[in-house]
Amino acid sequence: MTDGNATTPWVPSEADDRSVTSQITGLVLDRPTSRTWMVGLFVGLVGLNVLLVSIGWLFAFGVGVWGINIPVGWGLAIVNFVWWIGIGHAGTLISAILLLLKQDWRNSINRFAEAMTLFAVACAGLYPLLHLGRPQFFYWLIPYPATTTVWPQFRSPLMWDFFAVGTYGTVSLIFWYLGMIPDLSTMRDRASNRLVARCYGVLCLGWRNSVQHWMHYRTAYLILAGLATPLVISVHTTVSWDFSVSIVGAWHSTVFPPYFVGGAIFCGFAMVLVISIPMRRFYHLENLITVRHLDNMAKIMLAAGLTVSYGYLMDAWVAWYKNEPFDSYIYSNRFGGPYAACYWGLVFCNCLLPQLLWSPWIRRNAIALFVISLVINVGMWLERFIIISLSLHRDYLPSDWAMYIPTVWDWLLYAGTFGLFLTLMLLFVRLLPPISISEVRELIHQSKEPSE
Amino acid sequence: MLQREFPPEASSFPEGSRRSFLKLMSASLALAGATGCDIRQPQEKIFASWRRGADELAGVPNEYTTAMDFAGSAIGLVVQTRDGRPIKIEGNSLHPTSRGATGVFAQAATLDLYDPDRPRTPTRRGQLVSLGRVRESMASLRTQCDADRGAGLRILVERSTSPTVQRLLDRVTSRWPRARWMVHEPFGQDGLNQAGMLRFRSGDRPLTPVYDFSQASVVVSIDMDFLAARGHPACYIRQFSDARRVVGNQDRDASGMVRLYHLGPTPTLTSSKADHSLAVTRATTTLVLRELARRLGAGPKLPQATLPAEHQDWLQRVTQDLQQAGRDGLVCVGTDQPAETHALAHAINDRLTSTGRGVRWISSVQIHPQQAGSDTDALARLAADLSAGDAQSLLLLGGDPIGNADPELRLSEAIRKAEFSLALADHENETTSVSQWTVPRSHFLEKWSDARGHDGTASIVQPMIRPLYQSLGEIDLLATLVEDAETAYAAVRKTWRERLGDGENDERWRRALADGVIANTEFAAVESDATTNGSVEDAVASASSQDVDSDTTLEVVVRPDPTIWDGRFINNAWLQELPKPLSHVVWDNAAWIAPADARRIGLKSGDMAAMQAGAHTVEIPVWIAPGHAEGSVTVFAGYGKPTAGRVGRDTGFDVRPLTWLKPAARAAIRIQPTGNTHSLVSTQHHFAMEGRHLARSGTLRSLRENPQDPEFAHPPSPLPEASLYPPWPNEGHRWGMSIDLTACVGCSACVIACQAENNIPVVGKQQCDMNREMHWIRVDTYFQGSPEHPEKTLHQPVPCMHCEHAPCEVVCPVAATNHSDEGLNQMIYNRCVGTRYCSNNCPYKVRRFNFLDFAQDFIDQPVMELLSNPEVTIRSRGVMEKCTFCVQRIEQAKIAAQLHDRTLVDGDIRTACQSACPAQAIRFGDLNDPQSKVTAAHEHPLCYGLLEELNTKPRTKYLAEVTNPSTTREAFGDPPASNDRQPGEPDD
Repeated sequence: MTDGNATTPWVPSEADDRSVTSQITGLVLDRPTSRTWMVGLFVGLVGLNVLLVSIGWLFAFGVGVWGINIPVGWGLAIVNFVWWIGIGHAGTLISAILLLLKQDWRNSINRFAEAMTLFAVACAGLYPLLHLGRPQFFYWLIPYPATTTVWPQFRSPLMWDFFAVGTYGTVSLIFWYLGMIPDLSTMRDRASNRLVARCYGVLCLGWRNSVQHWMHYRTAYLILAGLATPLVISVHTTVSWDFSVSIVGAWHSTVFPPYFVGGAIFCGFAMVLVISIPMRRFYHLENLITVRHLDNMAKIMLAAGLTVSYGYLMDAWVAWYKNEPFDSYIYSNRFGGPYAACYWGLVFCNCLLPQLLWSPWIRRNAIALFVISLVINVGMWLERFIIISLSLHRDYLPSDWAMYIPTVWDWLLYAGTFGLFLTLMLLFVRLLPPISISEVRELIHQSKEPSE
Repeated sequence: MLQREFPPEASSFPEGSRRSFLKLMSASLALAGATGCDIRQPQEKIFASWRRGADELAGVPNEYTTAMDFAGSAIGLVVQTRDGRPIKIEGNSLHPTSRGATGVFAQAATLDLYDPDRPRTPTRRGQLVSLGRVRESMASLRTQCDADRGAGLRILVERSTSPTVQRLLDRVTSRWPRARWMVHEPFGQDGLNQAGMLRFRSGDRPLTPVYDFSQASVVVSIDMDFLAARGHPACYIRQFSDARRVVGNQDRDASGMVRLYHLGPTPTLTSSKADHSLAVTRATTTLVLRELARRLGAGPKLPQATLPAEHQDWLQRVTQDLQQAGRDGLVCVGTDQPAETHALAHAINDRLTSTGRGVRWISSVQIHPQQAGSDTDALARLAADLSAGDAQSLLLLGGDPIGNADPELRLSEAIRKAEFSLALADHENETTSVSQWTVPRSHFLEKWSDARGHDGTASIVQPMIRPLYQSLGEIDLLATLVEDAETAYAAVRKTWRERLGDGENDERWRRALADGVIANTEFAAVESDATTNGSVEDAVASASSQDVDSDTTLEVVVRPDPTIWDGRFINNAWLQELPKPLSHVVWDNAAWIAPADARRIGLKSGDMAAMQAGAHTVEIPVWIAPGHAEGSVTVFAGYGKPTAGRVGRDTGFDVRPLTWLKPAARAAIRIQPTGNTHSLVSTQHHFAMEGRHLARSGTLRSLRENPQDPEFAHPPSPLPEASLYPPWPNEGHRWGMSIDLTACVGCSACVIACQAENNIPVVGKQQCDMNREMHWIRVDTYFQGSPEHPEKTLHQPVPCMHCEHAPCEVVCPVAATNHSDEGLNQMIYNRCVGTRYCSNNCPYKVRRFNFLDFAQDFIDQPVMELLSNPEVTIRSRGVMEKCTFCVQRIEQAKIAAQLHDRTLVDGDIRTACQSACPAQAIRFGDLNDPQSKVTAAHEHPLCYGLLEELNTKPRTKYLAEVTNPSTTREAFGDPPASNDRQPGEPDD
């Protein structure tokens, strides 16, 4: 256990297998559809429609409906892509890395964190496709033996990106699904409606809880965790290569991979908190997602926040140390240029405000943590905006300098992905066990056995 | 030939809808393809230029010579046609005004030809009529004139140099002595004409100076923007650049390069190239020039003027230099200057004895009526005639006289009352709205005419295509009127019968058409009678000049717009979207004002200012122009036309009331902010180099100190040596380009040439505002020094650099941009999916993206389809594009060489930008050819690569600019100083 003052257990001492199972399955099977959920879903569907309309508009007129231009060829689409991908980090990190590190407290948060990862990757995955000038030809990025005998450019980071995100999405999906199979069988067994039971039955692939099943399952899960672990690092590293491999002054930097991964963990955990805090309140899961969980996640966030702050500091220091006009201008433009408010906003959101997390009281205060997490998400968005769009707006030749002002279609597409995310998230908590039943039960058993 | 089997009238289409016309047109083109013989060629036999031998063949480009008559002289052109469609214009190297180059207007002429908004049919009182009816009306006018000896006939013609127009108009006045004709041009040259007449006491015929800058060692430009490739002959740029360039100019090296001084209120391309530019108001310009004349002894009786120290300094340098230069010194004067200024300048030239060497006087090449009169008075005299009832029949040939006329003249009411009025017009305008008859005017690419170059050299204007619509030229109309139904062709042949014979295949005629010039037709210099000094002081005494000094009144200088001129190109989208020199504003005109004046009055760029012009108030947005003279404001005319077509409608601001003012009234105009703002769109937002070594420049002195490695061309900066990738194989051709910044004057002819050659779409003002203009080559402008007095203005054309280590190539995920085996960085449009990563990774930002369906016009407007170059793909939405080094021209030249079983030689391939460049600043060729000019340029010590520290290894390289400031006191620091401030940055 990392937590030194671990006085409260990860699961309440009075909880047993039966109570946990009925609490979690009850969320889906017994609880009537709440009004709040319906309102939430309505908002989500409105957002989803906004997404569809903005995609339709985009396809009808082209990427010119956005504010991108020459020199700023990448705008909100890529900013949001990186942002969503970053958010998608926490789930696999929690599931895989913490699993391998035997951090048992992850067991009650990994399921919805993984779901969040999947949905965030789904939102992120839209953008690289949509941002293409000719999205109908996206498949040309895939190396397939075309009759033209033309292959993709394997030196292009976008190619790598395509594989990194694709692999990450696939592995995350399998990992999430595999982890859910025992729970799906529990759902099947507890469903009173025959049709519902059938559905869960099909989804759980005939899981019968036999020891053999469990043996194979545990091995597969561990192997997948082993596979997913490098992916957590690789996906955002590869995303960062889109920038650091290029020649653009503010992009061409070796610090990008660790700094991007740190940032991704930072905003991923922030997003997990943004989701778990309301969820534990609405679904009365305070007993399973305890204050200690929040505290732990806040600590990780603080550590990641310090990492990114170090990254910002080093980036600026290197720019100054190099004493090279192009690089030093980038920073003077960030500090005092037309978008300086974004930069100082970033410093406030990502560097200054997270320092409050040194205080245990703040770490254990759900509302404060919720607000800080939201602010961190904004800060990380600003970071991507500054890195991606604002590095382009004033590059080598002053004659090309221009402003990038996102249009309403830029923003609507972003809002639309929130709709997609919210809809998927709400459907998930309504239809699937949002907390891993089997793993919480495992936690109960462990806590009742004498520890090592 | 098929075309000769059709009687003349068969060429005009029956009246009908545009759609049916276009169907017919496409059918005719299809037929052309089927028969291998183009039926849209003119009926009369036309002759291909000396460059090609064969007649028109389907699919094979052909070239014909012609000339474009503009701004008082004609430029000889070679027009490339495809299946009978003129698609690209080049300069005619045999023509003295062109010498192979063109200005921006000639380059954009093809777009005017295919302008979908051109009127298509003659009308009478709004009803469509046939051309036959127009000819009948001319016949009845002839009968009437024969009866009353032309008493009621008045003809107003646009400025022209056509000997045939002159002949026909002279014939009008000789046949009908009571008829009158006059020339109308909104931007006249009264001052020049008066001065010439004053100086030579020449009486009947105005005289014009013809300059030769190539021999000069010191040039003083008195507000003459001769380096703009617009209102002045393109050859002046060539002469100046030849006298200025360092690379490829061995024979001039001994005498050194020409030094340029500039005096005048408005920052222009000429002032930006000047070694010492003094920005003063028009009034002060005259004062300074008087003092110069006095000091040089050209006007000894002139009173000594008291001038501020800065002016004294400038004067001292000029005086000293001109005295030293003697007959190699030259003072040239802008055509719109008052007579006094011209008189003073020419007195100085006489004193320097550069008359006859740097400047010679010839009879004006423009048409001129027997009864002399000023250009600007023409409308007043016409109005007077009309209101007196003397004029009953009116022919308004070209231009928009009503639109340009002061409404106080009540010209439109008077014309409405006339018995007969006919307007020949390129576009619907205010003149066509009041005249009874309107006749579409044929474009110069579809009519027979003739024209004279700036030195008098005559050319036959040869059509390449039969009129697209039911249109006529001036010569058609005049010949029908006075020569009893002759065609323009016959009239032109008649003018030149003595010299060129009259047989259809006469060798002399054939040669004139193939060469594009009629040999030995330049005018001889008029001998000076050397009685000048008295007249100079007369001129000065007669002119009044007061220096106005007040807080809210400024002197107003009205200039034709640098891209749409007096408004005649307002419907030309290429020109509308061509960034205006120095400001880079597109699609709008503005009032240029000095930074200090703007501060004092409280104006920023884009603020609307109101100017009181007589009874009218002119409202126009302000643009803060670095280097503008304080106390003066420059207003560009031509915009705000109420009757423009789809392109020009609602663009810019009407400043005509300012042009109606007498010159004296323009000396003090009240100017106030209105509180409103207007979105002025500029394609460049930042004009300071921020201490980067981009456009490099240094003095001749520092070059001489270290000729092998001048520091300004190679400032200390670590150049990378290693690369991750192996070098490309160095075999076969290795195309490269060199751009000489000493020669480049920033005229932007290359931009339009590239646009015409490569089917580059226009995007409109709003998309330009979003930084999405599509030009493949742009001309960057940088100012050094303070905004009030920029020490240096630099122009840098930036096409694709075709880097050896192209950053764009490695990042494209689908390999849509790659390296050809000849080193071209090429774009495969079909493969592009539009990630725009290549553009992000291009440090030069020369890649252009089709954010929207910009090329739609080529498809939506069938007539525009005729314009497109079939060798260049039209790019669809979502595709990246960029400069290709005109790969189609490279391939054509290779094929031609192969057909003739020879190897390519240097000069076989000329890119569109290179070929248009009046300064010959662009060299293109094979870097593997040790003899090629581009290799020599790349090996020159002045050569540098833009951003070469990034290890992109650009194939397009620059030759650093060398300036030649006076060494009396070193005025300019060597390397770009780090103190360059930001002269106006609208994006913050």
